[in-house]
Amino acid sequence: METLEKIKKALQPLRQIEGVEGCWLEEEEGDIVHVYTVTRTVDYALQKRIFQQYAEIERRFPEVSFEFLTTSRPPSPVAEVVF
Amino acid sequence: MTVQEHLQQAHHNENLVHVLGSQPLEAYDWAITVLFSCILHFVDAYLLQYHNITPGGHAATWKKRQRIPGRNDYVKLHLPPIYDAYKILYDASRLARYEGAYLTPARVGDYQNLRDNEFASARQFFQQLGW
Repeated sequence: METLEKIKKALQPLRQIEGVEGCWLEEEEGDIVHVYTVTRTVDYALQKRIFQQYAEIERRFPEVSFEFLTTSRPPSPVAEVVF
Repeated sequence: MTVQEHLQQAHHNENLVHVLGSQPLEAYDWAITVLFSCILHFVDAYLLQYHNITPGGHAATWKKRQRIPGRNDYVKLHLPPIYDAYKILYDASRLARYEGAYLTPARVGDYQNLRDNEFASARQFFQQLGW
């Protein structure tokens, strides 16, 4: 999926948010992409900043059905690590 | 569930939030979960009443080569004014339920921010419908 590589690139600015430790995604069949941003702990302010970035990505890829989440968990075995 | 049952559940949850999110319980993880659940039932009532839709789950899925939209898709499509708030409440409630976030009394600020911003804005939308 060529779009997936573009999405991975678009997710890179998440690195610049203090408290973000990683990002991984899972592509489902078709147009469904689950994005997980890894934080050791999460608070309201951090969650808001992450979701502002998510909103930007969603605007750039209207053809994709995203599920955006935050997590403290490591990537699943089927995940693609973004960073 | 019928529209009326969804609305009844939403109001029940809204009343419960105040108990969970104050002393003596100060159960902010559950208060956040119930904030989301309250909005979810308003969403389901809205989708059923105005679009005759009953979502099968949160996220879209594929079954037998057919794409089944999830509630998140329907909120984006039919309830854009609350979409941003809904996504954050969804994520926060998931973190509260499955990852131990918002567990201690020290998380009162996070709970209050979610209640006074995301929950309040979504709730206001449904209040305009008389709900």
